[in-house]
Amino acid sequence: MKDRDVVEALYAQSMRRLSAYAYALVGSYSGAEELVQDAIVKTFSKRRRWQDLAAAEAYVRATIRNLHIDAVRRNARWTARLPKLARDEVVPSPEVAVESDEAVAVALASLPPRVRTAIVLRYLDDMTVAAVASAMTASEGTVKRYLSDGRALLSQHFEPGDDDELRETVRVKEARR
Amino acid sequence: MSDLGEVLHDGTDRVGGQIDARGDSALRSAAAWQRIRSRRQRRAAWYTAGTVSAVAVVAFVASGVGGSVLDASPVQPAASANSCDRGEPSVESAVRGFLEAAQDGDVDAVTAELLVGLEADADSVAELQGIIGDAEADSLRLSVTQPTSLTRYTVKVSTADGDDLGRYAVGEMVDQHPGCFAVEWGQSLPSDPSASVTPSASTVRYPLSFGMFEDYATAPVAFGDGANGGWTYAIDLVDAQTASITLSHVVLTGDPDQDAFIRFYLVLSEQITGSTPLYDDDALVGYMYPLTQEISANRLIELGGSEESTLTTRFDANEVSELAAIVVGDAVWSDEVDAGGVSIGDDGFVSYGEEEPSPAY
Repeated sequence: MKDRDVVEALYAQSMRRLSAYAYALVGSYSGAEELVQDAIVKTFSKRRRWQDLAAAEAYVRATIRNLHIDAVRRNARWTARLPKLARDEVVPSPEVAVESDEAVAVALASLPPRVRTAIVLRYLDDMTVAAVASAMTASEGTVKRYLSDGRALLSQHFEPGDDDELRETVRVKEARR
Repeated sequence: MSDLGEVLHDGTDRVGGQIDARGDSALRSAAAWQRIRSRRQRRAAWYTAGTVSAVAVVAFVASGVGGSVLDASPVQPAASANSCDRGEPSVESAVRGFLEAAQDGDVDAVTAELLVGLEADADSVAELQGIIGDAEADSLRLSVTQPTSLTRYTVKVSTADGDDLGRYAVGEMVDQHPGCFAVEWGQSLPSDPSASVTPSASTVRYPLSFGMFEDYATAPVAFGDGANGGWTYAIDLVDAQTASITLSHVVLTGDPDQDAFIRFYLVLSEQITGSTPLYDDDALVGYMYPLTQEISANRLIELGGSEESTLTTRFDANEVSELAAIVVGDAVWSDEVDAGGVSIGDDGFVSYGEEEPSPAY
């Protein structure tokens, strides 16, 4: 199968999953669409061989994650050095609420980018805290704080359920006393 | 997956379905493919740039049963973040860092974003600060244009309103900080012997990429003994007709019975006897000229080396009048090389000789 056929197959068969993942990371419909296309373009700008469509989809998914993390990091660095020009990180999109009417969508859109990224990597990708920290070039403590903050914000929209992360954060705080 | 993970998965899956339903997959696919082709063609143009002269290219081809792999990344933008003591790991970040520092009026920080051997002064920074002003940071648009050489780039900076904030030359500090990019700006330091911007006229060093076989358990050839180490290879254009390629450390671990080998090529802008057309998609990007025969582990030993050794090969281009003038491009390396050396890949690069066969699917 030629690259073009693989791209077409991705759009025909994998778009729902890839869009869902991209949306979880960026928190907007248009942003998710753009991110998916950027990832596919980047992936297929290089000739590759794929064992099957699932392998291509997994690669694109990883590229989505990397592109997003790079963008978050770049924006954070830029705005940190120019605070007077910085935009608010949290920009909940009312469009999302109207279009999706989904509590999860609204909740995710309400999270700051870095917090949302940590939540997605930890809970959707099932990455360990250490792996999330490595991917985001952040300390594990920072990631735990992101996770804790994210869970707290998500709990305003729905009950996120129990998780070891929360208990671990509590234990860390207690240990510091 | 945790409870929260399942909630997020279910919620985002429905959103994904909505996004999927909003567009026509065929149109989306066509739009994406247009961008892909554009990128491939743009990359191909890099390799045919006639302005490139003293930069050499070597293509490694590894071969063996079941296909094999060689992936030696060239020095290109998008190195890992925070990997540069000076400059930045990409062209774009170099310009951003430079502009940020200038906007802050921080002369030392500006100098740190300049190529080795250059320094900023307060007056110039103040002047630049005035040009940049308080332009909305997020709206600045950076446009990297085709490099005038493989280690030099031109970046146009403008605001969202279209105000031109200037063009900036960016170079890679190949000799001092390989893989790191900085802006050419300011004043030259008078007595810094390492102030050259580009590689010393005849030498280019590329880092070899490791972990290149991780997806290919049967890959017959490897460099180094793991995913670590700052291995490099150097290409010296010794004179107008001679190229010398040295790998600091080579480990050939393939099974000689499977004809595992590596092979070196120069990529040239002109066809000479023995060279083979090199294509990116349908675009001719150069001509591959074999520098060496196939070098297997056994052959390496026959040459006086061992399975682990420094490998140097020289290319005497007897029939080429001006080798440096026709050596083009950097090779961005393959992660997919067919048995027999049919294709070399990189970011967008390259099929070789004939159309790439369809992968098993």
